[in-house]
Amino acid sequence: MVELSPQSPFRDPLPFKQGRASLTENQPEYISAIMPHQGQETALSAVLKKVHDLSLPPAGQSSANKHLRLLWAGRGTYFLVGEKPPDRALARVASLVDQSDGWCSLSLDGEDAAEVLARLSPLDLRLKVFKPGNTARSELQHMMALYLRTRSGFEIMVMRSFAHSALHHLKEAMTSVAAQNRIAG
Amino acid sequence: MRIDCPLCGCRDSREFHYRGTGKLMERPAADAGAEAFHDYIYMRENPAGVNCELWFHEMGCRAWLLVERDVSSHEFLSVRLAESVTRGKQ
Ligand SMILES: [Zn+2]
Repeated sequence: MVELSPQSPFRDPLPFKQGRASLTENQPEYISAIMPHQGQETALSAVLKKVHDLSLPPAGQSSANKHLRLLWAGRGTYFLVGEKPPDRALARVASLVDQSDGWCSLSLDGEDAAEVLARLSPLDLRLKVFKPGNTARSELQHMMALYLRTRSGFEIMVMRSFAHSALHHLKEAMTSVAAQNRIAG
Repeated sequence: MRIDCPLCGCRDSREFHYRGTGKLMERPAADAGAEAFHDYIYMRENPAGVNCELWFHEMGCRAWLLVERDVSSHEFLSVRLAESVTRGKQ
């Protein structure tokens, strides 16, 4: 079969750096939505453990192993992100939908990452509230987004059709935060 | 206003949309007749106090919420997942 080479969802070149914040493209090979059938959360949790060695995270959290991450992505929805698609055994207890080309992912890192994001999202970004490994569904300048807090900053996912707008607003906020910090010395 | 979503925690109201009265959760039986459906669809109380309402966490987890809100103070007295209320009835 012909293997087509993947195209970046972003038109502008990345990484982008401003002051103490950096933005990099972070597109995983696979993004799959896993939505447990009604009342099947416990069954899904057991199958996940068996086939992927991952536990089903509670709302606002994530789990991970060496190859895959499982992010809570909203009511009754989890995103399996990484090198592999979901095992077919999961289809007995959940609906599986490929989102690999439907969402795009960016990493916003550095000391000023939270200050940048605070301009675009109403989330409480304080480290004691939104901790590494936590996820949140919220907005990014009126676009629906999925956030993951990491040790170095944030992973930000938006629908692929929003890629250019998301990048535009993030770059603008980074430039503005860096400029204000420069003036303040 | 801030709304305490049972899944996401306390969030800014800009993430939510008002979706009508909580009365919409009590749909009449299919054979209840035109009068009952007329009431269900069109007739609303409008108290200057505590209202039962449906809100949708559109820019968040996308859950439907059944809330009690005092419309004279905008205070949210309770927030529950609409699905947990429906399933409790089954
Ligand atoms: Zn929510």
